[in-house]
Amino acid sequence: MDRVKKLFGKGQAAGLLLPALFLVAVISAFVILNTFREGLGYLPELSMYALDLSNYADLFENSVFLHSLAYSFYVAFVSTALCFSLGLLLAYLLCRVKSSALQVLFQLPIVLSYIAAGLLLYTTLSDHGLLYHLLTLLRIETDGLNILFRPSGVGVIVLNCFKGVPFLAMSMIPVLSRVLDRYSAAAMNLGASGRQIGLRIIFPLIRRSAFTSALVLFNYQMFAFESYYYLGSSTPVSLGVFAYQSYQTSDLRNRAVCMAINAVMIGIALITSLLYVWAMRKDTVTNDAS
Amino acid sequence: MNKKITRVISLILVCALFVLSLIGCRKSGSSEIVTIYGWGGDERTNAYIDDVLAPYVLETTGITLRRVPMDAVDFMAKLANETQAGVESDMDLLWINGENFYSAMQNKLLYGPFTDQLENLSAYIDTDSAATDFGYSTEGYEAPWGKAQFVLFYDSDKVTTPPTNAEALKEFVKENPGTFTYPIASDFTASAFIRTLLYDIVGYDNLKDLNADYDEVKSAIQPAMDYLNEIEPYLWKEGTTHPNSSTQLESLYQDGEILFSMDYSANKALSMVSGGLWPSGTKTFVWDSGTPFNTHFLAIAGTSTHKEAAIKVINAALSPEMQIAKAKLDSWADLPVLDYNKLSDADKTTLDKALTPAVEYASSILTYAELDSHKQPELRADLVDIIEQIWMDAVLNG
Repeated sequence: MDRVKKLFGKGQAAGLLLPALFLVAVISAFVILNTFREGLGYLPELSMYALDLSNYADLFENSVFLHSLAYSFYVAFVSTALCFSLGLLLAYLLCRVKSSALQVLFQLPIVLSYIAAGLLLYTTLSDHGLLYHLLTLLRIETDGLNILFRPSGVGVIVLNCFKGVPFLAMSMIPVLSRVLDRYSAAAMNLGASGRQIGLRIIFPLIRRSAFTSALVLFNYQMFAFESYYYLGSSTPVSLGVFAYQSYQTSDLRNRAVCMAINAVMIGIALITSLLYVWAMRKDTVTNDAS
Repeated sequence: MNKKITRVISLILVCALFVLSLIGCRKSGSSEIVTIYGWGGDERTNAYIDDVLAPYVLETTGITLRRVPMDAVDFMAKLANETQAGVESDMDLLWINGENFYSAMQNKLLYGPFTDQLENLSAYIDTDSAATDFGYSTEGYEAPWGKAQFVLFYDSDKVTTPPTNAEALKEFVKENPGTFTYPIASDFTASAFIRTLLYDIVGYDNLKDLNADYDEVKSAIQPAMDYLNEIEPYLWKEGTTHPNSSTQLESLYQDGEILFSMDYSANKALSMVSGGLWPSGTKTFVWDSGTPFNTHFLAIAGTSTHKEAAIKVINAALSPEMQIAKAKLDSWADLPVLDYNKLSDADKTTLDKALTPAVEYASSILTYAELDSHKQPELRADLVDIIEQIWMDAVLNG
């Protein structure tokens, strides 16, 4: 350990992580470059040797792709906005109600895989599912719930919230509880109202962390596959499902198109990742300054 | 010092065990392992391979058969990747047919020809069924394993007379909106439903010789696409969405949300009804103009490292014993590829018995005579691909 400390000095943690980071970086870089190259139409195993941007250009003239892009953005944006608001509210409530049972319970949806959570929601929210039978028992008349498989993406948004709200709450609880403990009581003693404490003290202090968590959620929800595939409509489809459908055709030449879609998704994900890094750096600078 | 020596010895032993486990990873005891990649979405099929075929293969050839459930398009992509990388693969047998076989042949992904090495093929199998696959010559690169015919199912407790042609279906959905749907065309079953409709509206003879040209095919099948667009508003969820797969379609039928289902397995209703999964009133029907009928095959991956063993497994799968076991109505209930005239009297008796349903479930399936009189050949694989794409463009995104 001393040798490591000597070798890396202050950045010893980074030094210890370096081998693993190097491996991940090399594999990721290879996958990204290979995806981009196959998107250019270079797949020697299929006797395809093109190296041009026609697949990418065609995509941006393809109305199905453009609809998929817009649809994925819309669903991810609405889901993230809901997760952001509800997640913060949940985190606040859990900080106030110090119940260990609740602390465990609210994390259950995070433990469930997307497929398992999707199945649970399907069983509950399908037209004649558990909720429908519950409503019937309560003598509430309905023809069917009509929540899932809708082009408006309601079912997907519900699943995203089911998984995303606890995730955002979990990542906000440590920050929020620290802020509440440190500043909330002091501000109250100085005569600040609840609204002032919330908007002028707590929110500015936690917004960077909340923003970065929301960015992670947005990125995932925009490019997720399971939620859209199992609970979404057949049209419009998300980018992930569109890529899968292109990949799934028996004509293997469509793989180049699929890889071009993947490369576009990677590009968008890289942009949001840069935003994340920017937000983290700004957060670090702010913290250092304070 | 002793501790140090013990640690070094332990480390060497662990490393040796690890290396040995890697060396023996494709051997099970003294038995060679052959994998079979194929669709794993049907419990009866899985049970047949795991509990009937695999033990038989082990007993007769000493080879361990390991099933790997994976959709054909996925294992085709894996095969293409591994062929590209030039690596030895864990893929040996492939359960395949139609456009996937066509695509695999186009891209030289299969091993062969090998069918001349199958003793049971020449001795017991209907060799006509081995010659072509969706209109293309198999050239000895795949061996017939079973036959299938597209059928539809309805709940006879809720539907008195099922619609057996396009016009009757249109009338039915208009009178009973929301009770019928079909999956998106990329699904194998949905694709067969669209071809059934094409046979009724356009006619098989007007389709079979079309060139594999998008515009030419589109022009020929436009009346059927217009028909499908016309009935869209009367389908489940007003046609705003279609199930993503036949599995999802089955779930809807099972939950009573729709009154019809469909499958490429002619005897499926029997096991689903006897298993209590589908309504007891479920019955099978076909359309007056017939439904697509095809053969499904076993092929060998070009990257397989167990080609000889794979051939032995295929030979075992084609034995009368295994073909009859596969045909049993309480098993997979897959139509056999046996040539009845080549069977011994004892095998003929066993096959007849296997194909006779229990009296209480007999009404859920059709007789072989009924199926046989309604069977239509499959279109060429390249046409099937184009038809699916036209449906996506004209109906789903139209």
